Amino acid sequence: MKQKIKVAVFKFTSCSGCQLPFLNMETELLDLAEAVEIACFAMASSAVHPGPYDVAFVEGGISCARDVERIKMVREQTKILVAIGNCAVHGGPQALRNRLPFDEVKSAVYPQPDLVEGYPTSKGLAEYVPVDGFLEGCPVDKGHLQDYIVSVLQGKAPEVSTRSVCLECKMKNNVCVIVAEGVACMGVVTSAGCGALCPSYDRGCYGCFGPSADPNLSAFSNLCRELGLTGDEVQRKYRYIVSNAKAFREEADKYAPKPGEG
Amino acid sequence: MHQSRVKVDYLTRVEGEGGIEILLDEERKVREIKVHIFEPPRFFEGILKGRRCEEVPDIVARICGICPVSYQMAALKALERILGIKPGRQVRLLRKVFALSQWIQSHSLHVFCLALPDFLGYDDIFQMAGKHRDLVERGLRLKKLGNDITSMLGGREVHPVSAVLGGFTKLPPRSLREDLITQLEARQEDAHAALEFIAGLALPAWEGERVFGALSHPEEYAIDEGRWRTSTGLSLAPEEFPDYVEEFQVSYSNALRCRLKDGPYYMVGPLARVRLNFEQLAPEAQRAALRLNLNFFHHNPYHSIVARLLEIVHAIEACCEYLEEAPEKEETISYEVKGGEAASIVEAPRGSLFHWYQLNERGFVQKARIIAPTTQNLHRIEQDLRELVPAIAGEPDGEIARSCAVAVRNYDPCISCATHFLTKIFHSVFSRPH
Repeated sequence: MKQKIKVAVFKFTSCSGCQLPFLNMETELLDLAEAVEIACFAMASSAVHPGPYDVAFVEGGISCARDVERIKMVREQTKILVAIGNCAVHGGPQALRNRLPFDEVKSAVYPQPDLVEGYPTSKGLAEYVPVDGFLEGCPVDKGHLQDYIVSVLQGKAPEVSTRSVCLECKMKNNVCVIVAEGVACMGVVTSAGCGALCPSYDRGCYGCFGPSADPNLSAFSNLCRELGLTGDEVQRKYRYIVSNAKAFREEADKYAPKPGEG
Repeated sequence: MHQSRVKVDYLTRVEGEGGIEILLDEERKVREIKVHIFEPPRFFEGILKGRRCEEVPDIVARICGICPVSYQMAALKALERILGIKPGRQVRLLRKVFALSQWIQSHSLHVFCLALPDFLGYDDIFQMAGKHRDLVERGLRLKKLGNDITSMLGGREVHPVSAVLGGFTKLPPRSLREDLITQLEARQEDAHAALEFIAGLALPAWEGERVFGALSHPEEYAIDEGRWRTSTGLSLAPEEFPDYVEEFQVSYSNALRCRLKDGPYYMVGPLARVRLNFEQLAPEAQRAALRLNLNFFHHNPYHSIVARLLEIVHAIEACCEYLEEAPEKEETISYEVKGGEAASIVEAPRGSLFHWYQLNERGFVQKARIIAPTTQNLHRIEQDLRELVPAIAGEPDGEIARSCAVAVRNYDPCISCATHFLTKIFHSVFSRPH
């Protein structure tokens, strides 16, 4: 019998919302456990097996020395390392602290700041180790996780969409909230994958799947200004849930580089 | 005998990163017990500073992937009080359904995926499915039910998108709500069967006493309205909570912990709620408790798993009732941004969750303070270990470690939640070791 592929799931600096989707595969969970060997998944199992692993799905950003040490160990033990979700891909919502002076943040926060360890920044895994696959989302979509596993099982290269939320929204025949309501919806510059969730729920996309491939951000920023947003409002759209994605970060800097409420 | 150090390096089947360290002397007397929380802090209260009030629900959801709805609800409640927004009956009832759907999901996750393997002698749900396939399938169906309702109302299971100041951006039509009621009713049999099984488990005994704390409301099993009560007679409005509950820091943990100013240790969560609010449970849940002879008027923390299942039975019935009662008519809420401060307490799956915000006159957050249920339970968890270990100190180290992990896991700790609330450490105390 063919050896099952060994899958591991690890958590770094994050909320567990990207490893939870594995357990949220309620109808497929037991089949998944049959199809692959779940070799290490601390949130789900006390049976923790050492590597090497065929695939490791890693949630969470890197925000302290311990994270760096651990991700290097995971990298050494893993053939295919997949960053799942906003924190692992871009550093997560906690990366909003990256542009603030950390000493000030820390001493404003702690009477004894030395007791708490941490880097001034939270970054994606790829800043520290080579990463083989990226699944966007805050949270990651469980369908994407399933597709990824199925691709690996079939020995195929996993497909990663380069489309935007805007295209998904058109395919769903939603009424465009930009055109109809003048909402500065980020769907035009955001990676597809959520199924155009926010516009389907009558609100503008807020970019939680990160920038799409080659987004025209200056055009979107101009559109925001035409819709009446101030420069500060434009930069806060980018500096939100996925603030450390390079494209969003750089566009935000053009508008209000200064920290604070503006 | 030598001095020995018993360690759980990395707690499994819990949310987040933590460990346990126990130092026993030559006579196997407990010298030291520490619950280490090495989950890195994420400084959420710092991040919230300077954000506009409308952005807060999206941001605080990211504190926890398992209970994002609770964070959104707590933030909305506090912010709406500042802005003078009073949602109507439709929104109030559907928010309760939203919150209860997350109880169903989170409780099923904890009972079936995380805790139950301890009591049946397995490493995980996958192993457990071998001999207990029916039970596991019931559990997963219940979990899916919770997730399906959260998705229906909020768009997705994790970090839902529709809950905003004043209500929901979009609500499911009446026909879908009826569909939900049908789904809920269909799952009640799973909940009852699982409760009966869990009620029959041989759970570890417990001698010591403890204080319980939970939101309480005379007319309903409290979720998001009422006063915060303790089993020792405290009864607090949300804004009074910080006057009686003190947060403090210890050097070996990235999470703050809480104590009551009079009599430090207390426990929040399903066991506390069932004990304090038993009479407000849905009739069907009360009948089930009587039929199965369940007794919650003791101090045994291991009965949390029974309380969780009973709350699933309750939540299914309560959701049906709220969905039926919620008016169809959509309410439009308008508000003007203004400054001020307000607090809120909601019951998250793991216990009471406190939020407090201060907004400036343009609606930007000046200060935020969030106290998670696990922050409140941590001090009590460590005390549980101090009471537990002397009785089992003669056992092999591995067995002590295993029993301690079970005792910690029993609280369904959410460690990511507990390490995100550090901006208000200036309120904390470093002395007074317990």
